[in-house]
Amino acid sequence: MNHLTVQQILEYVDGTILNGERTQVVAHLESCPRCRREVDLQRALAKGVRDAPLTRPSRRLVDRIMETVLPATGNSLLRKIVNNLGNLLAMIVVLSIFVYALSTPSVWKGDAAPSVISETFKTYTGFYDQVSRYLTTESAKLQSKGSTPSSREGEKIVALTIISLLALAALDKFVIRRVMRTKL
Amino acid sequence: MAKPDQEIIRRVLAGEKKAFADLVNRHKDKAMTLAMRMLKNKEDAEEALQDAFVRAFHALPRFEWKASFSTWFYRIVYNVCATALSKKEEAYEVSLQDGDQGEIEIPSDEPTPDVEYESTEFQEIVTEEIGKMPEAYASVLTLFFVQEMSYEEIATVTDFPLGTVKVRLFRARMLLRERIARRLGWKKGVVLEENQEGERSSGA
Repeated sequence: MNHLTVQQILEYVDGTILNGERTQVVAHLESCPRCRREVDLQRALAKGVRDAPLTRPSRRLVDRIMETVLPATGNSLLRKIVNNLGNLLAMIVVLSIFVYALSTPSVWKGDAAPSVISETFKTYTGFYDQVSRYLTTESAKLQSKGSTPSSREGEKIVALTIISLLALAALDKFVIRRVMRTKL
Repeated sequence: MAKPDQEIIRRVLAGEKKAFADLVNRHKDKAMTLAMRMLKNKEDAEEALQDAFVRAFHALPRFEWKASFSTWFYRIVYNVCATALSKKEEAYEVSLQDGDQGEIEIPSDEPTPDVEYESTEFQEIVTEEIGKMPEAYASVLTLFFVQEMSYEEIATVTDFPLGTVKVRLFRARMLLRERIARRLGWKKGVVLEENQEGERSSGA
């Protein structure tokens, strides 16, 4: 007895077998238990694949997708705070230093023994004081050529300022925001 | 095209962009299943899925309504996953030979009489074996049975020739059958045991 081919069985199971061939297949199955068992098996496999549990993504997938395609909508207050956390930290650092400076005038007068914090603050404010003076003098020296000691010092200050700002921006973008994004 | 998809797309293109979330919810589970079976890793699959949905959102204005949304979308999902696989250099190279689905008779290993195809155990075994299959086979099986795509639609999604799709699906089903037989310990049929030449000859 010739058995059905696998292709015939699969097409029969899928319902894609041609009518003429289908008649032959049905007739053969009536008298061939082996092919009948194979049909049952292929039907069961097809059903098994069809009914296999779907893999569900995490609950936040939809939120993440919508945040990506619609970044300006649906932001909560918390999300806004997190997104600007780096800027907030920078502002807090600057403000706290200024508040400290204003609340401890003895530091400026030199009455108290300088602490580490006051020394650091003096350096910090001195840095920006120099920047201010540099910008003022340089604006009057627009035509000067060559590098003078004062201009070299000014260039150094500007470079340090730019580097500080870039470092702060990089810290915000690549560290703080990434950590917050994975945690929320 | 399924009416719900069509209506949602119309709303999104009309400016109601938040409606895109409805489209995501409609397709995310089946798309995740495809991505998971291709990438075998949940984090990678979810990342690919997110990427695919974002790409689909931005490409919606260019969607030409020639094919169904699902065919168009799953093409994006498939391409994103295939790209991710190529980067991981874990793509399974499938060599196709002529005549792979020729006149092959049913395999000689026969199901034992006590196999209950409706049992939870059988379903679990099938689910497990699908997860282990090479992505080249798992993907076409998923597209054919889960997304219920035709050969032509699968060819559109995968960008393979129609003949390749048919052969690959055939081999995938035969591989699944072979693995299930191995798992369930089916014995070879008497016919082949008696026929020492092992030819695929007729037998009773």
